Amino acid sequence: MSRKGHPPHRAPEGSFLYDRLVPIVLVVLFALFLLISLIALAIGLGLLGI
Amino acid sequence: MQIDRWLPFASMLVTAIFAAAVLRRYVRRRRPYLLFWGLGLVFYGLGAFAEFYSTLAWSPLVFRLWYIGGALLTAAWLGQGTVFLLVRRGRIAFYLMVLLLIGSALAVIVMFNTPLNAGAFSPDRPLSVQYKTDREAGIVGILPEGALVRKLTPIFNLYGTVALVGGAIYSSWIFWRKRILPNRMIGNILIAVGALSPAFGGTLSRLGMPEFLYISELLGAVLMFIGFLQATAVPEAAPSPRPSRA
Repeated sequence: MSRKGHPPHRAPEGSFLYDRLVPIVLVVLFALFLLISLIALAIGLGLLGI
Repeated sequence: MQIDRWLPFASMLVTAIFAAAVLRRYVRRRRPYLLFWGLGLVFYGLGAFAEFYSTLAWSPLVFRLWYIGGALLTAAWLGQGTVFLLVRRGRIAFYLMVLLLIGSALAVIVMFNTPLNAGAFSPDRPLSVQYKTDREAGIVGILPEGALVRKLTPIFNLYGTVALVGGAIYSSWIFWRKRILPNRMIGNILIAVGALSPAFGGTLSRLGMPEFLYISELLGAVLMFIGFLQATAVPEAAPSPRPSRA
């Protein structure tokens, strides 16, 4: 619910933002997030020797 | 080089304004996540200030502040803010905060007890290029080889990145799935991209490519600030269902 008590406005089906752009962006972001986390983990565990 | 002076200066200005906006919101709303985001941004700005100052002169205190603020604590405390925002079950966020507080205090003690090699410092090169020692590669840096404080960095940054970036991606995914509040969805995407930027810059620096660190920090600060403004903006009111008087 919004602050005024109305349910938030839902995006219509076929919306470019919700149906095309954001899904791709989220997948790419998640892949980058996994990559950076794994590199940080490898550094932390001393697997990269640095 | 001039650009290595002005990039951190710009990062410092952006993070100062950003931190003021977040802490002002905390004063009004008293939500703990805003306080910890504000604290993380103060560390961010401190790191940027130290980078700027180090293009002018050497100071062991400023170098230590750079490592503490820039490399150790920024991501972790920003991430702690997100933990307070998203983890509402029991007192998990509070216990994680206590652990982080103890860890941060220990890291600060370790940093202030680490001997520094001032002879390796030059104001003409960014700190990210000259802080580490690698005897095999013939590099003598400001921090001694195998310094304990460098071993602590990935732990703090992993926690911070997982919480901050993971939390922002999770939030945008929730808004995307429900198909609501596009401003918050886009704001969280920008926060995730902004937080990934210095994470990549720091990792590349660690992997021997330090030249991207300062630009990644500025980009990260700008994107996170825009994301924060976007996510906290009041959406435009929906058209009134009442018929017009005309």
